[in-house]
Amino acid sequence: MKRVVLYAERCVGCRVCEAVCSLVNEGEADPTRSRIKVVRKIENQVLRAIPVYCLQCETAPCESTCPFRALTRNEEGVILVDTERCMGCRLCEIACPAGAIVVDPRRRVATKCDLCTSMGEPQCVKFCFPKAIELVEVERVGRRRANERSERFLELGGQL
Amino acid sequence: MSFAGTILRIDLERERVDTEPTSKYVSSLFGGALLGSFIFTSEVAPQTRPFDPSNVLMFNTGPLTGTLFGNKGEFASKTPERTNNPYVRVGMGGQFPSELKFAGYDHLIIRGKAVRPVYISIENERVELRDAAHLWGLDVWETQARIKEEQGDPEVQVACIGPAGENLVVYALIMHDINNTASRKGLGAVMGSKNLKAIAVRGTRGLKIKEPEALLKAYERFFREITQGRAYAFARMLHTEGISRQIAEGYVYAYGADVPEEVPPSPMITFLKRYMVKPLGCAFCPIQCHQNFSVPEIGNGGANCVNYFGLIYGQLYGQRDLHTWWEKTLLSNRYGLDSLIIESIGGFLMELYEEGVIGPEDTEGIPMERGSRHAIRAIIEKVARREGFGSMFSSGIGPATETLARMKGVDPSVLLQLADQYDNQFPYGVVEYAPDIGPVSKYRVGEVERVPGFADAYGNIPAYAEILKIPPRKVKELLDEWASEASERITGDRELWRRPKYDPRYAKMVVYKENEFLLGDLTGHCEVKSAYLEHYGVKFSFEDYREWIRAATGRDYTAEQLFEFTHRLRVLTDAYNALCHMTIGETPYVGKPMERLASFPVPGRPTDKEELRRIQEDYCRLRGYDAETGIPTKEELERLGFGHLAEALYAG
Repeated sequence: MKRVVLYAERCVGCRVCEAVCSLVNEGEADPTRSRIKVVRKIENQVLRAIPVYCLQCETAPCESTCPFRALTRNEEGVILVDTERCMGCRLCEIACPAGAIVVDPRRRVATKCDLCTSMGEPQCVKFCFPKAIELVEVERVGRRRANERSERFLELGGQL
Repeated sequence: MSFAGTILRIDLERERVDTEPTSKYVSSLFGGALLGSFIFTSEVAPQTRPFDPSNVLMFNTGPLTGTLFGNKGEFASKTPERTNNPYVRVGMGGQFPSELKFAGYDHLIIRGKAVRPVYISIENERVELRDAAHLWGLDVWETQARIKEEQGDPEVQVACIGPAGENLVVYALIMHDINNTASRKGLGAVMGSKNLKAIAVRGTRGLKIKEPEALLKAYERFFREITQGRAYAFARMLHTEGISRQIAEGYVYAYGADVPEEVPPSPMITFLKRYMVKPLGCAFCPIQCHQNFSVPEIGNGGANCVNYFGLIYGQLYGQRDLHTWWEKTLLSNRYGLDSLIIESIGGFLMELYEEGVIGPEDTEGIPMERGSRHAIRAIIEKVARREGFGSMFSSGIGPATETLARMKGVDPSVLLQLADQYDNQFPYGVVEYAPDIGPVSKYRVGEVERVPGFADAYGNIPAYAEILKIPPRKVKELLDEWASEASERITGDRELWRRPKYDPRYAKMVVYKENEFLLGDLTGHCEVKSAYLEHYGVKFSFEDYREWIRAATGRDYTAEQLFEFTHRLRVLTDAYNALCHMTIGETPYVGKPMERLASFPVPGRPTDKEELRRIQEDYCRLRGYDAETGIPTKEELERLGFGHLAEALYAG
């Protein structure tokens, strides 16, 4: 079972992920229809960029809030939208703590990241050149994060 | 498909907004810079001055802008600088160009002058002029932040001017985001002359793509070629070229010179390692060729190629260290002033100060000592605000020279000679970069530089050696290899670029490389990818562009047709500029840059004047220009469908 992990400090805010996602899933170049969104914040002329996408929560507020049971899980635990059942009520949108599920402006049903299930691997990850998002086996997520953080810790220590 | 479909026309004077379909022009003019230039040259009379309300400020995007294949756009207008090319197109990337397309527009045409300061707000089909009185006087970053706050949407993309543009300083730029700029040629002043502080865009309509799967497949190959292998590191550091040249003291590593085994560490690489927060760049681009810096006690901001070029010419004002450079860059950007002109103004004033022509009394008590940060700060603030001694330079170095000469009771030519003498110590300098000094210059000859063996790449050897951790000699070998490949591709002769002697195929290389540069403007894909990357071992051909354009738009133009479109763009621009000169009775000047080029050898370029003249003749023949005047012939203009220009140019 794999999940996308985020290294926000690596993101350069190029939005290639948004363009690839909307092209793959909607056949258009339209960042507003992308399942992954890069929030670009400029503070005092420094860019902070954070990719926002579905984390496939183990206990998912979107799933439990949906009155139409339109959100289901596949065997990999990936949350999928059943577009036949979805009424576009937006309760999932309100419930999601990450802002990662939205009602598509054209199709009027909820859309969210399904890890490009039909394509074998998430296309955003494939084209993320600074490697700000990576696909990792669930059981390795914690270990990998610890490794990453300890490197940063050592770096900081080196300057002291 | 992949065109947004609409051209937006805004008349600031009548407060009127009109639209027309892009498709009206596309079949014969493709799009991007060619379509925009055709509209400009058809609608703006050649005698129009830059600050006339009838002058037009355009923003052009290409059919690939906003797709995975690019995010380049360009401002175009009459420049307030005195130059051989009155009509200029100045590229700008970032998030703005694609946002405009997502809002539904391929081109933006702004004419007239607003009666009061305004900004244009575009949100899909809703286009409004909003009051900008409260923004007037703010710097470029405050302006953007205030507009985003007012509109309650951080994703609004803003292009704006700072105090320099408001004060019609002829070196004013247009800024977007942290450091995406339309830097050169003073288009910020044109915007200021229209009482237009900013253009804010938000678009949520997206772009239709003809063949999404084919586009993704093509992108996969493009992405792989760019991000794999050594070329990537080269490309990512492309804009740091100035730094290494500073160490290299010009072109000492040029063709024929020996490259040492060891080079001293580059101060710029140390600066990058210490202060760079992250790379910056345009939307959807895997290169991200700008850098975001945070430098304690000076400030945060971004640096792009124009800013880095300042490092080469920093010697003109006695730049002591990179902190001086950074302070100069940041302050100029903040005021919306082209940071590169400070080298020229600062260098000129400091030369006059050293020669005893001017004293502190002429510059409000501030001694123009070479290398003084205090003096540089004062120059930027005074020029941008059009205050005190700075106001002389706000209209250009030429007029300032005349004023200074009058004040000192000397002939202006004496001052120019001083500047020029000093200037000649550098490959480029005051006179080259401030064309309003003395006669207007003819740039076309300068483009002879755009051939394989491209000087910029060679100047970078020390920095690349350090980045790639390979010996400088190895870097040179790689560059030589890539130059040979390009030479073979264009002329069929691998070694042609190594022979700085006249060859009939030489002009072909110039035309080819020029057209490859123009392909970036035509498509919205940017010249870094259409032309520069070749010098770093990655080549995307006209055939590749054909594939991308077909997948995005559904229009199948052959490589030859695309080549012809770029040729048409060049001819259209040259014919219109020639017409502008003729209308106001000026003769473009060719002598001096030719001498200058002859005196600074770059790899593979002949230095003999007679040989350069023959290359120019060949060039004219290939382009369909008169070899004597350098102006497109009547026949060529008619052949390309530019009858309106043929008639005007050859009326008498």
